[in-house]
Amino acid sequence: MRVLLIEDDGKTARALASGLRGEGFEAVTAKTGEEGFFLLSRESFDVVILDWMLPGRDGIEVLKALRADGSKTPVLLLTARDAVEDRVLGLNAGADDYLVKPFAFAELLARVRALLRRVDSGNALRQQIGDLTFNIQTRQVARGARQIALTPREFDLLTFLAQHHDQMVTRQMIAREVWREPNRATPLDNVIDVHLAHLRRKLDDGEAVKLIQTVRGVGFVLRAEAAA
Amino acid sequence: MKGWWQRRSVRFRLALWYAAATALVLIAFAWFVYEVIEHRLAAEIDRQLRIDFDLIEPQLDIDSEGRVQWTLRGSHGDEGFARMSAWFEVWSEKRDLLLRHWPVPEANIKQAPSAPYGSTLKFATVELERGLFVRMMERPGRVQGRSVIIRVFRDETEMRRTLREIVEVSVLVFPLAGALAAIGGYLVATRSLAPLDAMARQARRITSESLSKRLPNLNPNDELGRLATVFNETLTRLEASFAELQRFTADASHELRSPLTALRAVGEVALRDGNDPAMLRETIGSMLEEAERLTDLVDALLTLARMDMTKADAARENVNIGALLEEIRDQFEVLASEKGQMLTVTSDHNIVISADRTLLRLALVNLVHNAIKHGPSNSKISLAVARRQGGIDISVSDSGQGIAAEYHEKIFEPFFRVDKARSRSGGGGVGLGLAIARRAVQRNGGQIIVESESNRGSVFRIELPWSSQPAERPAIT
Repeated sequence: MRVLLIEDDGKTARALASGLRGEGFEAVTAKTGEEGFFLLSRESFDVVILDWMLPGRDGIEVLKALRADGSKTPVLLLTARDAVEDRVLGLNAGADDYLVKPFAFAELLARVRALLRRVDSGNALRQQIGDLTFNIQTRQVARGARQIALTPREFDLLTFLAQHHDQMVTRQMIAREVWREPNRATPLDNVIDVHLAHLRRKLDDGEAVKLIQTVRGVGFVLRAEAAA
Repeated sequence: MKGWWQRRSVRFRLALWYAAATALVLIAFAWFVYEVIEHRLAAEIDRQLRIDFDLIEPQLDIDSEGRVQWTLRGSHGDEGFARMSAWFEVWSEKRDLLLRHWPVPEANIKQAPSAPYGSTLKFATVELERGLFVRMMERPGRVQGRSVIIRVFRDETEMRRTLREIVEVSVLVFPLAGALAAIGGYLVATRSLAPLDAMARQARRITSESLSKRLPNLNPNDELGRLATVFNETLTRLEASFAELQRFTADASHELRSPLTALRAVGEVALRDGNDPAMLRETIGSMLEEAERLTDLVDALLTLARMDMTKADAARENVNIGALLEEIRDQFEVLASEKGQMLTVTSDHNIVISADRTLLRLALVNLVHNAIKHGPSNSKISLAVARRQGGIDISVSDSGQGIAAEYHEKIFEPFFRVDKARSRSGGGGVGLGLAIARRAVQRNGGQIIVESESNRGSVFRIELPWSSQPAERPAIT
């Protein structure tokens, strides 16, 4: 999977590129809009991560030129502008998704994967993660033979974690995707923590393998193996 | 023209006004005087003409040849003078000149008055030659039983000279009076506006560094004093806003610097003596936590700032308050029950107001979050809504330690914390929750009032109108 990262801040670009490589992507970086457009016209990429504010041609111009060329490559727009009008402007210019700086790398990763997934199948109805079995339709959850009863909210939370299993999710992602809370200033972190603690108690208490792991400073991850 | 007028200084305009008004009054007055004098003089001449007629008529005779003769009779002073000044004509009814007596040689008069054409009393002014105006009275008379028309004349030169002198004096005096009025007006205006200039100079010296200065106010009752009072009040408000802004900036930079300091310190220390991978992971985690806190802080600051920039009316919708409160309860119940608190809602589902739902919810969520955070374990937190005249009250009550009266206003200021020590630890948030709540309610045209005593719990009451314009933006915050 080839990712083109157009970002003028060298430090951010290096960190994101190395993070993406660590996740198995082939990351190519460009520092300016012109350079990015040049690369896009010569090579093919599976996804483009595009910074809005660029020296020279800004991200929106690059995006418009790209779409005018008929390219359908999914584009994730990065920006510090989070007003609704800016979102509309970005999406109208042809962006497929929109991520507001500062963001957690985990969230960037989740969004890039979502963009790549958009083409292939939806989420499986049944999932198996380690000894956790999980049926979205019947809303049944079990670890091994032990059936687990969850509240609707806990089930939604687990669904979200399971959809992103082996990936880190931040509280902000959870607030937006599970609680549908668009305003980042709403104090939901404590509420999320409590629900997560309940979920963890029901899932992991007494088990040798703890499925829900806390990643300090980032968020949580659902995975069958212990942290490396 | 209007632009030109408005570009002039006040004193210039006043001077012009004075001059114009003076000129207008003088012209009107002079015109009146002229008219009165002219009328008087003309009446006097006409009276004289009647007397002349009465004197001359009996002195006319017809001699043996049928010619009309004038004979001076009686004692009318100097006979010679009377002969000189008497000026009359006698015409027959057939318009034939019978007798003409001119005081000046007839040759001097180029254009003799034409023959009379009426036989009634008539007055007229005739110009005999250029500049020589005479007043004429024409009246039927009888000379020894024979009907004639007698015309008597009087010179108008004297009267006209008098009138001309009035006009000359006026023309000479009016510009002078106008100029005097203008100069006087200018001087008076300059003098009376001088304190205004002084105020302007003093006001200019008041800068952001010397906002505590005030204009001297000599007489608070006159116009300038009222101006100074208003200006000083404005300065007081400005000073307060400025102080608030400075405090806000200082607080915000402090709040922003603290996580940055922690980030640097933790990072530098780990770099110096960190070879243990586990310890490095721990350090990075801690740094990420600080970054998270910075993000939260910036988000809250942006939320606060953006509320002042966007139009609240755009997002106005009908909000069912009962449903909103229940939604919030459902969301935060889990947090309350962690602390053994009861979170209850008292409402019916028929209360609907027009408001910005997102902002209203933001305000309520912050209040509820605060109540849960500060309320003691196993206590009760209740959300309630009540109708009142003109709107509704939504109250969030807890039975926590309460808030001392001195802090009732201050708790809504950004970054204010009653317990300074708790500001950092214990997940105290970023210290903007109540500031955001208050602004969000104000944007909905309402206000938040806190009722609380120490150790008796607190009630935060949101007073909202059914539907109204958002409150004016306050000075800062």
